[in-house]
This record gives sequence, structure tokens and C-alpha cells, in this order.
Amino acid sequence: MTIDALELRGISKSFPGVHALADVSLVVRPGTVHAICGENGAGKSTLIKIATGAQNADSGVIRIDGQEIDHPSRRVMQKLGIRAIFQERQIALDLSVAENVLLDCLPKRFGRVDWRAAKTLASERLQALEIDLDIDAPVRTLSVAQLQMMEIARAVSFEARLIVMDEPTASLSRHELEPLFRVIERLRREGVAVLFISHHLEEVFEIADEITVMRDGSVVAQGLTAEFTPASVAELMFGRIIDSSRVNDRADDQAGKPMLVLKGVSTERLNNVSFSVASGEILAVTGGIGAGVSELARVAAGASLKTSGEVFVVDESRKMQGIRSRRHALRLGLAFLPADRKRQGLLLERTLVDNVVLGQQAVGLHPIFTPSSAAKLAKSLVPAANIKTANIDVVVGTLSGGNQQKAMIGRWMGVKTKIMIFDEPTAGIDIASKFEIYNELRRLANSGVAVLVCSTDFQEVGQVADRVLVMRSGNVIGEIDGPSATERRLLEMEMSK
Amino acid sequence: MTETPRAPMKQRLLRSDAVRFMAPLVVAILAISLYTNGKNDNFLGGDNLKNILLQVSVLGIIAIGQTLLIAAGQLDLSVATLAALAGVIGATRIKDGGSELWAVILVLLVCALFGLIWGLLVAGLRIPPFILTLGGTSLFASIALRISKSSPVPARERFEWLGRAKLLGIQTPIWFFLIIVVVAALVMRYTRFGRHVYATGSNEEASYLTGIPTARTKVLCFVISSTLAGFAGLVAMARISTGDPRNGSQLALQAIAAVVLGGGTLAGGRGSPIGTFIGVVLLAVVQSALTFNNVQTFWNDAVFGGVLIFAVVVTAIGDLRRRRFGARPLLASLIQRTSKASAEVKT
Repeated sequence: MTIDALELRGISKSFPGVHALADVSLVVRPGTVHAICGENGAGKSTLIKIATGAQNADSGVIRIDGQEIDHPSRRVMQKLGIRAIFQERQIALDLSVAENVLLDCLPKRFGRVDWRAAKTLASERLQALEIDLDIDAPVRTLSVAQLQMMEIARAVSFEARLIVMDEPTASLSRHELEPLFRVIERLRREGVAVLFISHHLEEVFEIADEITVMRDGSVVAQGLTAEFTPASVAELMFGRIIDSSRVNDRADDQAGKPMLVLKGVSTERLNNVSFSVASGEILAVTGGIGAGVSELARVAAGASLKTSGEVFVVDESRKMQGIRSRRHALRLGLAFLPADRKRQGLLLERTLVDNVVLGQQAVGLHPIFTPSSAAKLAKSLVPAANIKTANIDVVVGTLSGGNQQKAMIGRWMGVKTKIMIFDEPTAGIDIASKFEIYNELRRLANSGVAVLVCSTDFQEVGQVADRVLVMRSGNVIGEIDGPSATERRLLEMEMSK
Repeated sequence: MTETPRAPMKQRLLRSDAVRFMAPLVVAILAISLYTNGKNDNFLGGDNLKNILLQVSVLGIIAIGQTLLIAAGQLDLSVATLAALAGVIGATRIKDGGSELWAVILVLLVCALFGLIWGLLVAGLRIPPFILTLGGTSLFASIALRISKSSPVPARERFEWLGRAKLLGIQTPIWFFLIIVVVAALVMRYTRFGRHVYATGSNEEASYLTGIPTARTKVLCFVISSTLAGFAGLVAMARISTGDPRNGSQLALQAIAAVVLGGGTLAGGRGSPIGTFIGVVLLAVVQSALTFNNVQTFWNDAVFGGVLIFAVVVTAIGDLRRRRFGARPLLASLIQRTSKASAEVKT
């Protein structure tokens, strides 16, 4: 009988007012990939925090290699070979790639850091994983996808017995999945266990040996991957059948009046981009990594400078107003919802009230605010944006990704918003919540808002958009209407010359 | 449509700044006062209470400006020497035969201008305010010495209304301090500007992307803080009828200490004028209690430092239990373990 790499037995955990985990048991065997599936709030994140020692369970037992761990902490678990790659990046932004890869085990000679050995070691490790990164580059200059590969390299480079990957694919494009899966494959061969948390069921079925399905803090099913189908897992996750087809098309077929118009916009990474978004429609701009989709979102929102061209918002009197700054764009009714909600979107340590009323406070039609009027506004905005919470005074950082995104949408429901620009609207959000977000997007469009979705998720684009623009290295290379924008069709467009 | 309710009152109260930061300070102030009063019942007499407030009115006015900056995630170390410079300029104008009203206006304009420069440099060039204003500290000190030719400038009795006159039996500096506290508290709590300050301090990038004028907010905070510092300098000068270029070099750090005592954090997003007021009063009560208890004066700074360190340690321990996301401080797991162990012992 093989010894289990990690065994969790009867784990329970509750937070004030929430029962996060109830009697969860889980066994991960060496050399296997064990996937945990569950929608937001199912308890996945809490479970892995407990497995990695970042949080302590109220009751239950953790065993590593059959040994019971009395006082689990990050440090203890790391020493025992439990490594984690969390969604929240754990990176020293000002250090080089080499230093980050070797962060807590820089090679030393005569008591000081041996930089030459460090560089060799770091590049060996990156090469072993076939990751192409400049080891001297300051980490600040890397893309999100590159950062993640670097983090994986770091986790893998330790004597890891079990690696926890929390939504590792959330920010990766399709091209980058391949290397990740190769790495996981290699780990499996070497007898390392992988605990894989993902809301992409196709990926789960591609890579996992075993699956645990969670719902509302409990395990609802556990078994070999062969015993499940994607449809059965989805049904178990949500307790109902999930429709993965397109969300409803727009209410009336009539295209509205153009609201947002880009004319020949160029930056260092964008080249002469022109298009317009009409009220009532959802326009998606998509492309692979390096296409400039995210940059386009920022420029269109007035948050990044452009070298030439103009972004116009059509105002009430149908005049084209060139936007001069992010604030000017806001004044013209243009809302921006960035992809990195934690860093660029939310006041994480503040309450839901503070976060949802921020839109109104930013626009600032009223120079006076009272805490009670803020609470009153929040009381109606929170259910309007379908945010699931016991009360409006929760700290936003404790909400799930889906609810955080809805908090950002709610922020713009209290003010007159004519254009909304979403950068990766569902990054790090699970399937069921994704659909809720898509439905929100459609509701916004139906209420007359011009919605621009900048996304590298082809499936998402096909599900939600009325029109799709495909970009490659800063150029718009094609347009297609939403219903015919299947993943495959988009991929062909992007690959074609 | 159904509304989502607020959290229970008790929970909100326990999380509020008033309970977490201000209540303990008030308790400390009362405890120290009652203890000292037990030994010498002049301590809680009207004269001493007024005296305590008078002693800290200059510090208090500066600390209110610092509160705005700290809430916006900024800092200004140069306010102390700017206040001294303000006093010197004001006194020099009088000595040269100018009218006092013009002297006040001139000083406030000069200080506002310096604040504007700091704000524009910080917001426009993203210079860390710590270094910038550290430089400013030396700059202002030198200018003050140059203008005053290194010796205190007598201001005769002209500024009496600013520093020594009484209104309803209370000295004018106390009135200025209290009015500024109340106005600042209202502005920070109820106005668009106040909310922008907290948003900017909580997450500047998110605020900017939302469309909040973060740069303008920061610049305004610097301008207000510097103007208040200039006003505080004039009050200090009026109280002793002298513009002393070396006056109050400790004020900047004491002001920051008062803000932190009152619940501010240098990371930004927190801090309130009322909290700062209580923090300032605590510092003053401690100072006065030391005198009443005949503690030798060289202990004053040690007690000041001790109070500050004690307060931040207590706050940090309180925070450990509250944190549920982000990095976890070392002590959190220890506390969890011991509380768990003690819970086991009980059952």
C-alpha cells in the first residue's frame, strides 16, 4: 500500500456567520493529480488554505506521509514539502527572475550569496520546465502569464511532495496551457502529488486522475476521473444542470447609436485601432497574449496614454467628446472595470458599502455624503448587482471573486453610466458565477449601456458578445458576429495569416 | 426588490474606529487624570484643563493637517520647520511695520504655496513624500534662520488676538484648535473631498481607475496641511510674541504620533480628525501628569515614545484576529494556537 502524500480527515472550519467547511475528507496520493471542483463559496479556497497551513481548521486531522501534523503553519507545511501557488501572487516585484525563483534558497558560498551559481541554478530550473524567461529581468516587467510560470518554477524547484495550484489556468491563454500541463505531467512521473483547483472542467478532465466535487463546504462526490463526465461534475457542483450555451441575445435586434468611438488609436503596443460600440450592444475584443487586448481596455477608458488617435464618447447632444483623462471619461459616463480586481479595482480592506458607493462618490454630483445615505444606497445596490452576502458591512477582501466582480458592477449601477469597459470580466471566477456575470453584462446592455468586453477567453467571447473583434500584436485583424464566434472559429482567425 | 441588511449594530460598533481606537485612548486619558487628580486635585481643575489644551493647540492644528495627509497615504515631515518659518515671517513683517492682517495672509499664502509645490511634486513625479519633505525640513529651517538672522524676532504685542486673547474665558488658540478639529471631522466624514481622501489612501490605483481625482486630492491635502502648519506657526509665535526660528522642531513627529494613536496608519486609508484630537489630548495629559507627579523632565520623551509603541502594539494585536486575507503576521498563528489550547483546556 502506498502512503498518501496528504490526507485530510474530517476538516471543519467556520468563520463568524459562515460555515466554510463541514467534515471534509480528502486523500491525495503521490504521483497523481487530484482536482477539486466547486463553485465560488464551495470552500475550495478555505480547504487549500488549511492544507497549506495558511489557516488552521477548527477540527479535523491533517496527515502528511501518514504522520499527523499537530501545529500546521505555512512554515511547517513547506518544510514537509507542501507547496502552493495561490491566486494572489507571491512575488518580490523588484527582484530579478533568478532571485524570485530561488527566493528562499539562494545558493551561498562563504556565507554570502553566490550569484553566479544562483543564475545557473535558476536558468537550469526554468529550462527543465521549458519556460523561456530572461533570468536577469526585473519581475516588474513580466506579464501576468510569465509571472505565473515563474511561480510554478519556484514551487517545483523545491523538494516538493505536493503542489497545490489554486486556479493556475485562470490567467493563462490557451498557448500557455500546454507548457503548464507538460510540467504537471512531469511532476506526476516523478511521484509528486498535485492538488489542482480549477473551474475549467475541460482542463480538469484533461489532467486529473481523481476528482473531488465540493458544494457549500461539503464534499458531494469523490472518485476517479473516469467515473465522471464534465456534465455530471457540473451538475454536482451546482446541484442543477448548467447550460453552457450563449447567454440571451440582445433584446431588440436594432443596433443603437454609437456611444464609444475609437479612431486610429495607437500606442507602443497598439497599431491604428478603430471601432465603435453602440448602446445596447456587447462588443468583445479578443486575442492571445501580446495582442494588446488589455492595453486597449485601458486606453479606451482613458487610463493609459496614447501616442496618436482619439477616443470619443458621444454625449447627450450627440457631440463627439475626445476623452482627455480617466476622470474626464468618467464624467462622460464611461466606467472601467479592470482585470486585477484586488489591486486595481477594490478597496480590499474596506466594506462593501464603501466599495459600491465609490462610483457615486467618484462622479460626485453631490458634494455631501452621509454614512447613512451611503448605507441606504448600498442596501439597494447590493441586491441589484446580485451580490450574495449576509450583510453590506462585510470587508470586500473576504468576498468570493464573483461577488467582488459584482461589487464592481454594482459600483456603476448607482450612477448614470453609458459605457462600461470590462477587462477580463471573469478572470478567476468559477463557471456558475461566470454565467451570472454574463447575465449581468446582458442586462446592462439591454438597459442601454454600451458594453466593451476585452477578453482573451475565446469561449467567453463567443458566449456573451454580439460582435467580436480579433486582435493580433496590436492590430485588429478581423470582425465576426457573436453567434458565429465559436472558440474554433476565433482560433482559426487568430492563427490565419 | 429586497434590500440587503446592515450588519448587526454590535458587530459594526466593535469594528468601528470609535471603539477600536478612540475608546481605549479615552479610557487611558480618564485613568491618568483620575490617578493624578487623586494626588493633587488641581489636575482636573478648570485652569489645568485649559492649560493642557493650550499647550497642545499648536501641535493639534498641525496634527489635523497631518491626519488628512496620512488618510490619503501621504506624509509631511516639513510641517514643523514650516511652522517656525511662518512665525519668523509673521514677526518680521510686524517688526518692519506691516499690518498684522496682511502678515497673516502673506504667511498663509506662502505656506499654501509650499504645500502646492510638495503636492505637485508628489502627485506629478511620484516622488515619495517622506524623502521630499525630509529635504523640505532642512530647507525651511535654513530660510527661517536666514530671515531672522539666527535670533528670535520680537513681534511686540500685536498678535494678541491670535495667541493670548480670551473668548468666553478660553484662550483663542484653544478655540482655533477646536474649530479646526470640528470642521475637519465634518469635511472628512461628510464631503466628497473627504471620501476621495480615504479612497485614495485605501487603494490609489483603484481610485484612479474608478475616476477619482487622486492627484488633485493629494495636492489639496498637502496645501491644507501646509496652510494649517503656517497658521499653527503664527499661533505659536503670537503666544510668546516672538518668531523663534528654532521653535518646535519635534512637532512633525509628535503630530504623526498623535494621528497614529488616533487610529491612522501610514499605509493610508485610515485616520480621523476626532481620533487625532483624542491622541493629541492623550499626549498632553501624559505630559501634564508627569509634571504633576514630579517626574524629572528627561523622562518626558521616554514616556512619549513608550505610549506610542504601546498603542501600536495593542492595535496590531487587535488586528491579528481580524485579518482573514493577505499576509499573516507571525504572531497570529501563535495566538490562534494558544487560544485553541486554552479552549481545549476549558472543555
